[in-house]
Amino acid sequence: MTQAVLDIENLSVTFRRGGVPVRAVRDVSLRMAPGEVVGLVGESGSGKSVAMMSAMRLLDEKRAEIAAKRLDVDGRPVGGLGRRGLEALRGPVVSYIFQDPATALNPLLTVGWQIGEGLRRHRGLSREAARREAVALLAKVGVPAPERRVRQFPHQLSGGMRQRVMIAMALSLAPKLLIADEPTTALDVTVQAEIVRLVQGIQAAEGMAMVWVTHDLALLARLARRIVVMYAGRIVEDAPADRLYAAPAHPYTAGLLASTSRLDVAFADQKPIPGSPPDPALDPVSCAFAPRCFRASERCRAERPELLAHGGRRRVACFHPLAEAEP
Amino acid sequence: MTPPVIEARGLTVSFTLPGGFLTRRPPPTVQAVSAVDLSVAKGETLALVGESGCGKSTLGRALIRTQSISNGRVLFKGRDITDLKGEALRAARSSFQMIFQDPYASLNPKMRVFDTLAEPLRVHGGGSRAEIRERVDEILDAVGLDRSFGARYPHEFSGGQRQRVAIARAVVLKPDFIVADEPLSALDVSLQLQVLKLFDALRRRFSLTYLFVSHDLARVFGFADRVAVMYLGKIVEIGPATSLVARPAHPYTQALIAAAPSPDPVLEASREVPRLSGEIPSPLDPPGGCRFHTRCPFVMPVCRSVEPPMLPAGPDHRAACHLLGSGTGPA
Repeated sequence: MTQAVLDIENLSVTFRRGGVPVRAVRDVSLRMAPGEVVGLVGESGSGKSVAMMSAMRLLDEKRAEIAAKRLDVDGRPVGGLGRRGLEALRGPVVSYIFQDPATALNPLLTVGWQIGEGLRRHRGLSREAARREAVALLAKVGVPAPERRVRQFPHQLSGGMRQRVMIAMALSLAPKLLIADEPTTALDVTVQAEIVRLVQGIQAAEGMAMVWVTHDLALLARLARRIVVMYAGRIVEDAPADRLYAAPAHPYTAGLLASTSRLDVAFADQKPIPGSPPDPALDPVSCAFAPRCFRASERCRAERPELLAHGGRRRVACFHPLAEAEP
Repeated sequence: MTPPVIEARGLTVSFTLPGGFLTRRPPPTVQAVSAVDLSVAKGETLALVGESGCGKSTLGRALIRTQSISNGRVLFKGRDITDLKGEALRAARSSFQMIFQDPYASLNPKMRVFDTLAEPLRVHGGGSRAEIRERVDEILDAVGLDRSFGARYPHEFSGGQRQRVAIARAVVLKPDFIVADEPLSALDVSLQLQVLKLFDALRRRFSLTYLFVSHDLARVFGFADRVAVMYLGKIVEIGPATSLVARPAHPYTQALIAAAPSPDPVLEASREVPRLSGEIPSPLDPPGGCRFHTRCPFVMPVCRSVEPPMLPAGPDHRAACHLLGSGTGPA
């Protein structure tokens, strides 16, 4: 089997909040092949961003306790990496696009300088060569007049343009894995559609693996071949996108699907998930979704379902899955 | 015929920006809302949809007189409230309520939920302590919060629960008109539908009238009776929600509908999104003629020079597009 680009086994991340341990990520295992595109879905607090940030060692480790049997990116264990190891990891191997480009960009440096930073440091490019490369990257992400834009500061750009700059930065060292964490949430609907198409086109052309983190399943329908759903810190379903949208197996996935905005379903027929997510400080032995689940039984309230294979291509953590197991 | 609850006639809101440092040029002016005509009937929900900076929130605030008006009139149940001041303005405003995007910022963190809900009742003479208690319990029930939550503070709630408290506070006086300004956009998809269903249940129970401001047409269209689409300070299309989505007349409305993703990989793979060229121009310097012409895929020479009037596009359905006048239609 080819080397996985991301290989996580039994990852748990715990924060201490005023002495109370809050388990943000609970026993997550996820393997991604090179070039694979995964949509990672969950509500805020489901642990989706924390899981991805721990793979890049972006968490504040004074506050976060990370435990994992394996946490490898492109074959290298990231757990033990020191400053130099992390520098070699972030950018050339894996890069991260954040939700809010306004806070991720340095307001005092030109966008050209920031895009070129990795190229100067990792590739030893001269300032002039890095600037030329930054112009080419901006053109690639659809920024008009890139020669002029490289000399501008972040505040001179619109939100959509700033997010394009972030994407150019993330792509500058041709990473093997790109993690896009709700990159379009802060953008307008029409701009969002453009950014999704842009990233999709670049991914198809360059073939890097990608994780797109979001709370909106509708957004992923076009992007991802595989969908991983998280709830209360755990993966509850992992399935090929075409199967998951056509026949979700976990009742939570079904609820998320039914909750997405859509123009083709009458409002009266749109059914929300009742209740709210559990307190992350609690650690029940039951299924965390049971209090909100229309299929919950006594067993669900007494025992936690493990994430197990459900047919050949799917994993589900549910005693009463909605979809039949398929080969 | 009963007059609409709220009516705007030629409503214009301009902002004067701070002038340039050491320059003698006059400070720049932005027309955030430009000559808008609009009315909302009793019991109706009008969704006001548009992208950031289009002026939708400013229009919402101007309708309830919490935003100063530069030109035009606002009528409340047929009575002109544009020039009300002091006590008369305060009295008129007590018929209105507003719900914001961020419930945390709009709730007093030092006040228990019970007092947050009881305060407006006390201020407006809501009766004895027992009666107030009863009204608060009723409203907590109505928004799906346990009565025991009254003893808690806002920080003890999740985002969705806080938005329920903010909604409860807005509804407790049974106002004539509620402006909900992007009340869903800080919430996860699953909570958005929950909260929208709550708005729906409350309007039935208390015969409420909403202006529902949102950037997400797909989210609100099924819930709204009518939809108004705003672009750079102008309403470009308005009509019954079903006919506006089924037969959008303005190319901008068409683009908004095309941009909304659907949770269906097969549909998504086959769908081509008509590309809008560029981004929204600065409201400081809006394009002449039709304000949408710089991004419109169907732009004609006339669009660059002549501003299109609102033209009929169906029953009770109008759009500001020259294609409607040319008889060809933009489809």
